Amino acid sequence: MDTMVERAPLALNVPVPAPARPAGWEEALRPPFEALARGDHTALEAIWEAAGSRLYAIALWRTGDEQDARDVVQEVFVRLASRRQDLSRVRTPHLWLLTVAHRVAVDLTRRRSVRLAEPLDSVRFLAAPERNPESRADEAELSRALARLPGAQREAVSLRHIAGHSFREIGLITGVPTFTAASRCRLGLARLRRLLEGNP
Amino acid sequence: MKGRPDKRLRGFGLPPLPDGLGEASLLAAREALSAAPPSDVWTRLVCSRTARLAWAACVALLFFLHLALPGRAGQERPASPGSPPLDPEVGAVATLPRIDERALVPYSGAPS
Repeated sequence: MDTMVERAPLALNVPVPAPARPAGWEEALRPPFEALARGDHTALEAIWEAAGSRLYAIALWRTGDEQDARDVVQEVFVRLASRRQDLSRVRTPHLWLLTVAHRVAVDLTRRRSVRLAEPLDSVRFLAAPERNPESRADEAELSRALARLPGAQREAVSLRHIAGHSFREIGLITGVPTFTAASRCRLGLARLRRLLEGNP
Repeated sequence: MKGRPDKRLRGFGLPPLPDGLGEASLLAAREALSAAPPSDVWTRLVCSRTARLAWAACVALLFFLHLALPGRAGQERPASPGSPPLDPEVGAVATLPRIDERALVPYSGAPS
């Protein structure tokens, strides 16, 4: 899956480099998936180590609520355990996990739409680098702005620019065409820019 | 600090995991593992790739034999043993008339 260079869908065929991301977690998931399918229950820890933070991240980006994100991650692991016999047929475990997390988050958001009417400013949608104190303030400002985006746009922007997924992968995870994923990302960035400039 | 939001997001990492989420998730998964009922014979049969392959092979074999075995497709169905023999006159009436092209006279008139 080529994630290094993608064509922007609306931007004059200018190659847009995808943000760098640490590679390897996709491959790290394959052995524990196969082990869990064979009945090795200790593989759950390896799956958590490889994917726990990313599952929580996508759940938080989609739901906008920390408690809901916790519920989503637990539900994903319940489904992982109850469908263990099907795991051997999963070709891309990382996309499978993120897709399940996305679907669970969407279901939860629909059920609890009243609670999410007011986004919480205290939610941390991203983490600043440890050694850069200036980025702490930037983290808080960006988190407040991300909290005011619609869930679908926040999810697309974060998957693209924080987690480093390609538009194609975002489309696969969220169940929309690649063009729609890129469009959500573009609209989210435009709104984020207005929010950061003080023009919501 | 101003700038394009995509550039500002660059370098930030995933949100921090809340305390205890890993233990809670693994506990929920283990409970699901212990609560999952063992699959019965029919479920295993339906989910079995071998069984599905065997079924597909049987269908393919039947189709192949249907095409390959000679002399069966064009034969008329034999009359049932209990039915009386067909009277020749009734047979002539029951047979649909057919147009014999050799008996047709070619049209030789001028076109109108």
